[in-house]
Amino acid sequence: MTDISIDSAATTSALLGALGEQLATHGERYTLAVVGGSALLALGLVSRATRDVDVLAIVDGAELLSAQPLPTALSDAARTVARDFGLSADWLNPGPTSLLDLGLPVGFEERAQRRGFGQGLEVLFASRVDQIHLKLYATVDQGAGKHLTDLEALAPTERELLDAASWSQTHDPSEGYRNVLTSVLAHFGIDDGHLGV
Amino acid sequence: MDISAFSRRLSQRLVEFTWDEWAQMGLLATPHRQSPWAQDPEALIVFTLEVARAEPRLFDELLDWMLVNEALLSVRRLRAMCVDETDRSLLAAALAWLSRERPQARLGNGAKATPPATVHRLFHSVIHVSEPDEAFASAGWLRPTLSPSHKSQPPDPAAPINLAFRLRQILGVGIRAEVVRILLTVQAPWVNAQTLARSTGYAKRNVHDALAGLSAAGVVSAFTVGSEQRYAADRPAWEALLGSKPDELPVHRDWPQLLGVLRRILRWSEQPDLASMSDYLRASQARDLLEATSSDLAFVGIAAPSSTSPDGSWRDLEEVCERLLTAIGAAHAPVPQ
Repeated sequence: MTDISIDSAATTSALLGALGEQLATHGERYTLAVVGGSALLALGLVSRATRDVDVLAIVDGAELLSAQPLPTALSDAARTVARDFGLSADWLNPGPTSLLDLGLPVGFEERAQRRGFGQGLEVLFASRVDQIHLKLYATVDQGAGKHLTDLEALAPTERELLDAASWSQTHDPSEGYRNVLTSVLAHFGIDDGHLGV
Repeated sequence: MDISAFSRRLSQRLVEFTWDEWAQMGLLATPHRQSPWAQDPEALIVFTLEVARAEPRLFDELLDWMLVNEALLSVRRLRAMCVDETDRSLLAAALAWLSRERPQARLGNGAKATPPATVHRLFHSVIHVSEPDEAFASAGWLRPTLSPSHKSQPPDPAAPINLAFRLRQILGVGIRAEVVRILLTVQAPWVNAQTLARSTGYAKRNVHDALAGLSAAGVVSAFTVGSEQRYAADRPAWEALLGSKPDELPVHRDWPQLLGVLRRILRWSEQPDLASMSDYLRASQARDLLEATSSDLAFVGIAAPSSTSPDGSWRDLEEVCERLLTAIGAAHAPVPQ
């Protein structure tokens, strides 16, 4: 298996379209909440390449369910798409699904952009505002690199960053987290006086 | 990718190949070439039952040929050549028809099967069926009543393609004739029992027993290398018995695998819903097909290519198909010697 990257909205659509077709062929249908680089590409918010599609949740009606592990039919279909396009076996993965444990930004589902991919797949791409929340959290939690680059590309306003900072502290209220958060906000020209106690 | 053009072209080439093969084996037709190989009758019959659904006259003449030459055929091998339920169902129809036309036929269908719930049209062309053939209907196939043409002849035992029949006349219809056919024609100094089992369609244990008998009779030599038992035929002795000049025995082809894979590709390409599929899904299913047949392809020496794009999968299937057609002399290239 080669290591082919997902580098455009068209590629993202082609892969998810293929996944939708494979699911429909087997009489399956899923709705997925997707975040990360592929969601940013799909919405035209960034233009960097990524290796995978991060599944935040399986959407069941109004509920967002853990995507870990991916349902068998979904992972089988993903494996076929990986074979057909020469992708790594884990191109569709539930990496960020643990974010569900401590809650998503309020209104996440309503803001998400829904797109259908044939009869078998619907995807809720995290909105720009929610991506700012998730990317700020990832930058602080995991370090700069691609997350900070993405956050910069999203050009957040001060209000958006402060809302995101407030939400991210519900996931990690530690002093250490706050210290790093302060320095990231400073990078965007916001002093820590704006952060709540 | 134009699936209907691919399917049509493949079907035409396979029909032409099949006519040419049978024309050299006693079916009423004019052969357009002399095949350099020894044919496998049962593999070709099961293959023809599918291919000739696009050529009703070939289908009907095959049944007539089977009626005339049924004593030279093995029903066990016919069943062993089937790769799926469609093969088994077409064969059941043919055997039911033979039983009706000749109640004492060796190739009778055995126990009565439960009538199928659905009946499919046998031929691809639209044929008005005012009087369905009951033997075919009992196996789930709709076609007009078939009466034998009585035009078929026994195969010419001197023709290279008919070596299998000649050996069956000498050794009887059974495993020994098949083992000797492979040993005499294969382009290798020796063969092991596992390869012979795949080539003949018999179980490895039965092949072992037959080889032990042939070896005891001194017409096949056996030798052990490591833990592997290897076998070879005394070709000069067999050439003398068969009246062949040195090195003029026909060549070998792995017919069960070659014709089995081609049949599966043809059947896949003729699925009605394939035309309405997206290019991607069609290519993905082409990849599924290549994976499902990879063991047989490897056995006949064709490595299934593995592209990493949907377009590549389709090209891979076309390439494999062309190599298979070349191996059976049905490509545009000259017949391989």
